[in-house]
Amino acid sequence: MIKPHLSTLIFEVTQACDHACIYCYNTWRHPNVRPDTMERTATLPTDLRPLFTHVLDQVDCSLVTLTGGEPLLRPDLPEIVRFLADRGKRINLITNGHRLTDSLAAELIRAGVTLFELPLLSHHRETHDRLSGAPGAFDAVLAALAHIRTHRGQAVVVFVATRHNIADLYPALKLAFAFGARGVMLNRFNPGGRGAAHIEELLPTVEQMRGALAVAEAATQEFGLPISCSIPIQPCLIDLDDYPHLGRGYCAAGSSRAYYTLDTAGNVRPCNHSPTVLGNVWEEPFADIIAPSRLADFVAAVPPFCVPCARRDECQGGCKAAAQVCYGDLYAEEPFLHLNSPLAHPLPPPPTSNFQPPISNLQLPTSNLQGAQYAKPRTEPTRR
Amino acid sequence: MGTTRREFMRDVGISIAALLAMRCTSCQPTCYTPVPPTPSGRGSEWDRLRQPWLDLDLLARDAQDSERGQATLDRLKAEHRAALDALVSAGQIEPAVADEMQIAFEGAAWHIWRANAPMTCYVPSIGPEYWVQGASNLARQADVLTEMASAADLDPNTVAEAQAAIEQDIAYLSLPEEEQQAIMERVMAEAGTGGEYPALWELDLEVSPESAEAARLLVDLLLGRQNE
Repeated sequence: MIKPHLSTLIFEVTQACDHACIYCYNTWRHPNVRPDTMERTATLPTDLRPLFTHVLDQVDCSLVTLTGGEPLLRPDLPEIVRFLADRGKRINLITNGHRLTDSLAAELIRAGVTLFELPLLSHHRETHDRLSGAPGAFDAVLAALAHIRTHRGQAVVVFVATRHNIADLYPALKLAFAFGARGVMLNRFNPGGRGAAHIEELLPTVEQMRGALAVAEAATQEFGLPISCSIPIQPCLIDLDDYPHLGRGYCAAGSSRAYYTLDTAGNVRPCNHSPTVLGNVWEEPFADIIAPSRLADFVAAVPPFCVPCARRDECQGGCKAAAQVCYGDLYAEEPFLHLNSPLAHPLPPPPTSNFQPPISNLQLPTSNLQGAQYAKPRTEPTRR
Repeated sequence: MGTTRREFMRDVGISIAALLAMRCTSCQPTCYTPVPPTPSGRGSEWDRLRQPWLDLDLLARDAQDSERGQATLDRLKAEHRAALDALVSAGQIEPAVADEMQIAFEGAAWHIWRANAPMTCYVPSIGPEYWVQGASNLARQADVLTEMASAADLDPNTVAEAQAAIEQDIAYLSLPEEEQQAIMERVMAEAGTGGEYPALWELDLEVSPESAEAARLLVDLLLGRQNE
């Protein structure tokens, strides 16, 4: 049997965290996500190697991303990294960097972490710490970047653009460059989890995002620093073709570039923003869990507003997981589109095109994934 | 004896494959994983032609199983040829050009397959990666670091560590090629056959006084401090 081929798998190795970021997208921090839909553990699960073995035996995937919560809260993280590296995996580590001491950075790089992803939210200590909900976060993340560089590791920086810090983008990019970041992910705030309670406070306006993109467009050329806009930006709001040097991305759910996300109990979700549990790897084969039929509703969902748009298949309305978490419906307009819809307009097809919207997407929703979302997953790993 | 046309095209293909491989490790978009953006799915013949190139990483993985690797190799070559034929039929490229492009792709695909297949005569190995940036870029980093250190009130210890890392990179770059090679040989010797490479800073390197002085001068030169 041919294994499914995926670009990456995301493992949330713990739900615990030592920061309290007000923009946090971890779905289990949202009050509407029922407790039994996600693994919740007061104490860290013990040995994760059986889970990794069980999953990675079933899928062809060379890149594993470790995230949380805060993965560095796990004392066995270097052991986990070594275990995955011994299986030939490249390893990304998403961390706030607060606990990344010099010796731990060296150990993790030697163990096999190929890329660290760290937040850098401002050049102002107070702004970074306030958004992180953790005093000392700013100094800690810069120290972490320095440690990584000293030990010849690779790091990319994530700038989460909110109303509080979007004006700090340029100096933050300078800091990232000075500390040897290999790239920057310019992510507009994408509400979910704790962040969903701060939408109006944090979500930047279209005009603010245009300004930030212009800054990033100039900076990527000035510093030779790759900058990508990882959270979808709807082309009906902002035309990213105006910023040709920036990378861009749209939802990859359902494709081989999807980033299925697993928790420590083996529950599989379409991505790390979504609360939808597709299934549990201890109960059924991974290939069945990610079968197209299982994901059909998620992949097909676009807001009614977007149905006539010529770029609907590309954009998909933005982040449907954010719509699901914030408004309880995959077919809702996600917050960035919803709050800016007076500025948006479905884009017409090119003049010479015989554009025909696909029939499957013209059919307005009769159901969403609420049933799947609330399917009761396992709460404890089962070893077989 | 000069390079033949076919050899040239193979090299073109291998070079493109190498660039693609490098792009895979750089920062690319999607939420939280630096991988390339989602294909638009528009399905033109040009997209079909592009796809086998994008699938070379899949070939690299499949090649570790001989039967599966061979199947993927054959499939990708066939898909590339079919996409070319469609473009030729549509009058978008000349047949002779298509043939050259196929040579380039087959050269690239074979190279990828051979580099990853479990063969005794071409054992895949991952060498140590001591990545350093270009010297001019490093000097700019040092400048910006100095500027931001005061503008953002950074922790002096952190700044010193970052500065030291930059200077270490510049010093490495300033070494003559033979000394860089000597370092690499030393690394390989220390690694032995176990595949465990020591970190650069763990080696007892013998850098000549002349090299150290050259490194210092270069740092000063690139930071504009040589006249102070």
